[in-house]
Amino acid sequence: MIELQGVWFSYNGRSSSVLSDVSVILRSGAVTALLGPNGSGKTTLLNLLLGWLKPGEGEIRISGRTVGTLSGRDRSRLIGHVAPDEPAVLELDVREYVFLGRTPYLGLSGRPEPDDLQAVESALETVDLLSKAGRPVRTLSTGERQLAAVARALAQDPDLFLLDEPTSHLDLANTRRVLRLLDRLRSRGKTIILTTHDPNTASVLADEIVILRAGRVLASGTPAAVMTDEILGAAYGVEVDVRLIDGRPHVLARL
Amino acid sequence: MIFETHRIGRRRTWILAVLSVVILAGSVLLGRYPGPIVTPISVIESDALARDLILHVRLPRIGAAFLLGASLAAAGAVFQTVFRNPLVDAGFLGVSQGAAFGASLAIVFAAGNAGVIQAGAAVFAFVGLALSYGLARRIRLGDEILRLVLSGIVVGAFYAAGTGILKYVADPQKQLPDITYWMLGGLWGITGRDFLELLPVVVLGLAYILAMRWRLNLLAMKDETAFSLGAAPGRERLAMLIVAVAVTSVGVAKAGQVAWVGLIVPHIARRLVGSETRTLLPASILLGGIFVLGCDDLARIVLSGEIPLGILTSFLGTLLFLALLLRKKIGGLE
Repeated sequence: MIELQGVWFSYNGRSSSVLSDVSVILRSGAVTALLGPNGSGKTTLLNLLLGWLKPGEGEIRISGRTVGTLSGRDRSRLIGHVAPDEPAVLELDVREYVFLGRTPYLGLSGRPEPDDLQAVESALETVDLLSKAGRPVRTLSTGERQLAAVARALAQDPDLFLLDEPTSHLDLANTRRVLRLLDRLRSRGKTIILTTHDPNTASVLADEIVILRAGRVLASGTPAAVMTDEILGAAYGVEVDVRLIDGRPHVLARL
Repeated sequence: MIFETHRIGRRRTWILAVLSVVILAGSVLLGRYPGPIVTPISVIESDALARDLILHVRLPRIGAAFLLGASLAAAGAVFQTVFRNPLVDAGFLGVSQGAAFGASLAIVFAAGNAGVIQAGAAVFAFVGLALSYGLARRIRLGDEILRLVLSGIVVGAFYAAGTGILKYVADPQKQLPDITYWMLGGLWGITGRDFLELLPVVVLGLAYILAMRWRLNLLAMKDETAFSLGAAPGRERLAMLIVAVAVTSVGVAKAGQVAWVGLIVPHIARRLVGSETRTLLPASILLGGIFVLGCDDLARIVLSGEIPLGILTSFLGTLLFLALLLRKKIGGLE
């Protein structure tokens, strides 16, 4: 269970808050989507969960442990993170890049044990990139690069995956690949929190959705509960049509 | 070492290690006394002056050249990786301009005392780093890398202007040529004492860089990503840069500006052994040592009056680099 209690945050002591009084409980073993328009505080919230940012006020606990008090090694075995557009680290090939995910288990020298090699191969297999493992990361397509980044997080083997806009630059087929992959991780008991500005992506995959607007929680609950005309209309400031497809709400903005 | 590229890289690093030993040993026999190029072993056995020369002049200089090249190349590899930019070297954060300014200042106002010139170069190199870092914290633009790049340019330009003023006010008979020769770089004045002053800083610095060379991979990633893998990107980056500047500034303080080594050698090393920093760092260090020592050997033996080392490293470095760029593949690595 991940608990956020009265979390406030502003950058560099500026007076305007990016997040204001965010209190929410996120389930373990489920997919939670942080949904909201651009600039609503989704990425900031994700970086607070990662421990990269510290809340100005309030507390964030993961399985009862305050995020800020975890050591680097403990934290990195518990929480994996995939940023949007991770740079292709100089000229590393895909396998070397995925291997960086094993850092929390390696000594200073980075010398791998058989377990580490196994984890890398299995992560590459899961995202279906084994055939491209020897190629430089920079030669991959955008979609494949995103999959490689997820594979790096997979090799890290955390309980909690934080994914910042994992599908924002992907076409339909690649979006599906990533979403199916996350679905498989959920079935392995992993907890997944992702940000997205696309309500339909959230609806297809997420067990729960937290809708943010201007740094505050507007609503949280199952897709069916929060994806209503009123709530989404208020979140994005436009009139929307919500339709059910296969029992899941989908949304279109009205012209 | 697991992946095929690493196996190739490791083999090539061993070849570089063997080459280093060969060129270190061979350089002892190269020089303009008594013959024009090679000093035969029989002469060393019979000629006391030749023995003295080798012990007190040639050996310190050979050692210093190798350490200088190793330091500049290692620092270059660190800077290029940390800044995710293949066009930077340790001169990037106002460091080499700071060293030039410090040395010029000492030449103009401290009567060109060698110790003061060295101290001035080292101190102002570090001041360059500190200024760049301090300024970067105040810039409100982009991420940390971009801020450092911008402030490095500003500090470097500021120092360059200062050096220009010093050149303008310098005595044109004595001080101005001294400044110019210092900037061309060379190891002709290196003594055993210089070498012993260089040795501990370079050995400790390179030991740190080598020990942390795997972590360097992480510092090339986005800060959030490096942090999620357990790194403290801000602190680790600063520590790496301080060490890289330290080994560079002691070398530059002794030898003046030896250009292009930090920029080109890591590129060549990357072509030979790949980008993964665990293999890149040892290969860069060895290749840097080989390159600068080779250039310094040429500087010593080609003409009776020396060619400044900085000119040779620039000239040969660019030619070598051009050849590499035009040749697409080396062995199994692109």
